[in-house]
Amino acid sequence: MATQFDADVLVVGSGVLGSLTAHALATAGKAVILLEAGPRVPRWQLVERFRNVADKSDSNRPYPDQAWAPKSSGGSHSDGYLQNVGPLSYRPGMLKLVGGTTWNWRSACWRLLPNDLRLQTLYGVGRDWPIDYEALEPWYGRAERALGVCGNAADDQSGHGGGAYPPRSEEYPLPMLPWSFYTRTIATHLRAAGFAFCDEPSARASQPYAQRPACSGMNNCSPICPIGAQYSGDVHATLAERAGAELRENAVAFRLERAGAKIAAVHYKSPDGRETRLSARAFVIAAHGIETPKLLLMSDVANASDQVGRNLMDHTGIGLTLLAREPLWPGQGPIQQGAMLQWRDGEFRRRHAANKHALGNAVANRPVAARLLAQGMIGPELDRRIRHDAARYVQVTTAFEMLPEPGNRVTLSSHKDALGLPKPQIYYDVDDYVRAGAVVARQDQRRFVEILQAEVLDADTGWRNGDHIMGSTIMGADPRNSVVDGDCRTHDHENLFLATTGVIPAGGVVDPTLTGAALALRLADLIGRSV
Amino acid sequence: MAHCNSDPYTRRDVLRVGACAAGTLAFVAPARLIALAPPAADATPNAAARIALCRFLCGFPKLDSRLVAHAFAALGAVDRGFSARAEALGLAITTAGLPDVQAFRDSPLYGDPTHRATALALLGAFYLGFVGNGDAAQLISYEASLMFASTQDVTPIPSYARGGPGYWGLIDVAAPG
Repeated sequence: MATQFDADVLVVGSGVLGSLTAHALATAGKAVILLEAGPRVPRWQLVERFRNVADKSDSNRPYPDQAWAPKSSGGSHSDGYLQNVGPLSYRPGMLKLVGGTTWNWRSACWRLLPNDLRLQTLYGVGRDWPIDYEALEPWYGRAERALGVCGNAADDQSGHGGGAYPPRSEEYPLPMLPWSFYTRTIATHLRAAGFAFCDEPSARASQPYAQRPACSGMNNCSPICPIGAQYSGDVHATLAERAGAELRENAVAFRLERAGAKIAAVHYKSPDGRETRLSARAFVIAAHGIETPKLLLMSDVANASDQVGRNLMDHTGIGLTLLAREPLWPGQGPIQQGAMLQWRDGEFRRRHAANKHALGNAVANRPVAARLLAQGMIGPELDRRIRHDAARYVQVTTAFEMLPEPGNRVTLSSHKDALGLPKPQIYYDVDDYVRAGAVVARQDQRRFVEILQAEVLDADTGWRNGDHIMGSTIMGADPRNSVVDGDCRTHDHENLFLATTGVIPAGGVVDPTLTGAALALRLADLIGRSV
Repeated sequence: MAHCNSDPYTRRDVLRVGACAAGTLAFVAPARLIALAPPAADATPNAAARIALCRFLCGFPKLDSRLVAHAFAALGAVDRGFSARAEALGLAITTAGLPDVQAFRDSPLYGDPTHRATALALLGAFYLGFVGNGDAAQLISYEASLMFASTQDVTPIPSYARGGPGYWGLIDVAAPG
């Protein structure tokens, strides 16, 4: 390491993308410092906190709620952190601790389709990626190996009922998990009716994998897998440290210091307000899709295009809750296993959003019991109905493709956090493309009701966050209308890279984490060869 | 079974409470029950009556007396009048000579908004395992929440192991529901 730098590479954020980057670079022999705004908390403590937290309605609540590093919700320091000023309240999952937000996720690890990366060319809407699927494909494979993804490579994940798709150069590292009776039964019914139901690839170890135990179906993937069978970002944070990276906890990055066209240093604050400056040859900001643009805006860097913070997208969706006629028993196995993809890709995308219907498989006792008690049910009938309804409870979440809209954006609020830093201000809404997609999706949902001969408990959930933050530091070939290039390097600063799902310019309908991981490994390789 | 423990109260005891107390001015547990009450759980003078009331409402004779103490403390913290209303509910049930919660459900007492709300507040604490909302919420129990009792032969209490890796893939027939 050159003596004039504190590190070869400084990575901000120890979530899955930052930790993957730090691990890859440390393994390549680079001197890496990894900053994390929150503390390190062992899994057993988080599991204990989950069990002991009283109100479990917010899955963020078991996680640290600290004044200097607020999460997106679930605590007195955090609930007022995200300042929403738009028509919809956007409050995606965001945790600040070593390992980041993938402590609390469902671990769906889909690849995008080749067509997803050519949205504008093929369908005349949204934006194209500046790279194609072939450029990304080998990195998808590496990301799947890193995260330990299980899945069924024979599925046509385009939803067209054909052969294996999208193209892949290697098998999933782990075989798919078995489906529960619930998933099998519903899949059988829906497939018979013409729906394209397939397995959802996930970062759950279906067999022991890379020191992780096999999934035991404790049905608690979110808020937290009790045994670490499901991947979380702390895995690679730990591996990065073992490879020589230095991890600094409770270090809140608040300024990127410029030196000409390059970034010279990161400044961070400790919880007591003390400031530290760290220099490096290259910088990777992997601080979540909301905090990354906030840091760029606070630093006034990488924003010659005026696109930092704009084009905020998610897979905002709608929900449907049913009581099926027959007992199906959700709750056995992981909390989500399969999805319906018939509206994932096609010419219709010229007119309306694609969608993905995902089938929840969580133990239903809590919402069932709460509903029955609210109805005043008591006595033996209450117990009988809890069993009856919990056996028949079906939850479908429909996620929609969104297009980049500059008005949906993250800016700096005039309100400050405990360290005196601006809180993120968010303006968020869905457009007519999504609303048109919802019309089609509701037709599907009505068919689900018929097929399962179900009673509808809730078909009007309103718009729901998908926790899939995209677009806020958008990727593109043209520096005039995008923040990073196809390598996730900022157009404005050759040594500043962004490892965040915020770079995704077109995200189809699938969870973006695997794509973010592939991009992170790809940029780490690039940095490793050039620094 | 999640809600079972070695606590010595039985359903018969609870029924005896109702029978013995009928016609008296208070929902008072018999001396044997008071003697068996764990003193560490709730040292208030009417602890036994509270336990008996909660077991009556839940229909679970082995409802942990410590959870009763937790529930009364939590409900009392957000509503200072709760204990008095619970005592009134117990007295009303005793006076009416109701043998079980189903009889209570079918009686005019359950039509009384105050009694109904009091009963449902207690049942919510034991079934859902908490009282209140958000940061102010107080835990009564998690794995001992009664909402899990009627499905414990089929589904896990989330975060607890059930059958080992892949167990769910071997289940070919739905349990009765």
